[in-house]
Amino acid sequence: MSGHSSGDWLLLFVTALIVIVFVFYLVRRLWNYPLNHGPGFFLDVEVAPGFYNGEGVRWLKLYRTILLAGYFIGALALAAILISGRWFLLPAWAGGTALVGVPICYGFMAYTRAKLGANPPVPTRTVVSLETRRLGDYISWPAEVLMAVIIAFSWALLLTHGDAKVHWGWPVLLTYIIVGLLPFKIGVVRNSYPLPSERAEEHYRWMEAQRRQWLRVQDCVRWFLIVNLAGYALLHGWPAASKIAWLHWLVIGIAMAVWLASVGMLIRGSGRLAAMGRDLRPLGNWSGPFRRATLMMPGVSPWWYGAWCGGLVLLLVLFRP
Amino acid sequence: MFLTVDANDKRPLYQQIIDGVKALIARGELPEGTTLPSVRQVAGDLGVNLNTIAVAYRRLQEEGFLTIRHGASAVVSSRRARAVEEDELRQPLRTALTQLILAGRSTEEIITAVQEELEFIQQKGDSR
Repeated sequence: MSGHSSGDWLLLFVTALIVIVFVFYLVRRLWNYPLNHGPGFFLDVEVAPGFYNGEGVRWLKLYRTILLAGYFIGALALAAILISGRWFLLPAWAGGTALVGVPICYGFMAYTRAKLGANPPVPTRTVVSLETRRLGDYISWPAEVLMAVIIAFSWALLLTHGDAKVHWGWPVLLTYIIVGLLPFKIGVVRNSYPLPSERAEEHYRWMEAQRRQWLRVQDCVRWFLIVNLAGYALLHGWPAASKIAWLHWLVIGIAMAVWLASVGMLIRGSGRLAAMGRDLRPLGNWSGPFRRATLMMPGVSPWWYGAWCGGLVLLLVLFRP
Repeated sequence: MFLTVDANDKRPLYQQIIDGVKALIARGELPEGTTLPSVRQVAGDLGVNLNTIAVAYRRLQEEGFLTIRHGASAVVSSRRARAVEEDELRQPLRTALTQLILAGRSTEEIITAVQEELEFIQQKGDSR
């Protein structure tokens, strides 16, 4: 392992932090996630009283087995990367774990709905909010413009002054993710669920908190990637940068600060959401009188997610190291 | 501000929207100048056809409750409907009273019910 550079050791350090976050999430959030809406629900399916004294035990066991299997496969892949010394694959491992985890999670949710919620009650009364949702109330356009300027600046620097070490797959991939998440944000703002007629106000507040949390998470991810892109462009497009040692560490420091702030926000926000929605009906999971249930959160269709991931995989194949 | 719609209600959906918005205006929960969400937003949230909401908004505009500028949102324009004939105004009341009589309610019960409904609307309006 003595052949590894300081950059490789930094990658290892960041991976160790990601592993800590993954384990924390497993223990604090995911282990009892099916009970997030109280004992009346399994994930987002309404269950009969006493479910967790009978059939529910088997369902919880199945959920936790799948969860642990996913973590185990991720751990195996990580061990293989570390042992083989191909540490440059660590970012792909972190991103790939998250990308694979989402379809597994939603696949299991679809399975529980098919098995447990085949005949869900369809409420005849539904409530809709008359609050206007303008994009500008949720998306900061000055921040979006700033992002666009940084992306354009980074690309201009790389295209005009990029050194021989530029691996084009990296800026293409980063730009794809940053830009590709903007339509996702717009979808999150535009789409909504009809509310149950009981405790409509509480359901509305919870839905709004969920919406804001998702937008914050997307922004954190995008800013983290923007810092990476700009840093990459500076280090490979500005010849003097290689002679300024502190610049390297400044970029790394900013990226780490953004990442840590994002993780903190994600953990705090998800905890707050879980507390708010403890005994509320999971939204969007039941067919309403005028609308079918949705599997994913508002604004995200499985088709959109599939197409976005497909593009990502295609880029990884085209620009593989 | 919330609008409740019921699939079992005998009134068509657009009528429920119209009545719901009128009730909110009458109670003062939708004061003059309030911007209502776009047709697309309400239709998307409820999962109904755009035309259903567009018809409701157009009727409310025709009755003078909303102002809709092309390409802009609908704004609550007045707490009072356009000038209508006294007879036209009383027609829904007459229908409701007839239904109460046919349901076997006594005159006292009907008067109490009307007073309660009126107080409910006025209380909501005053609380703003």
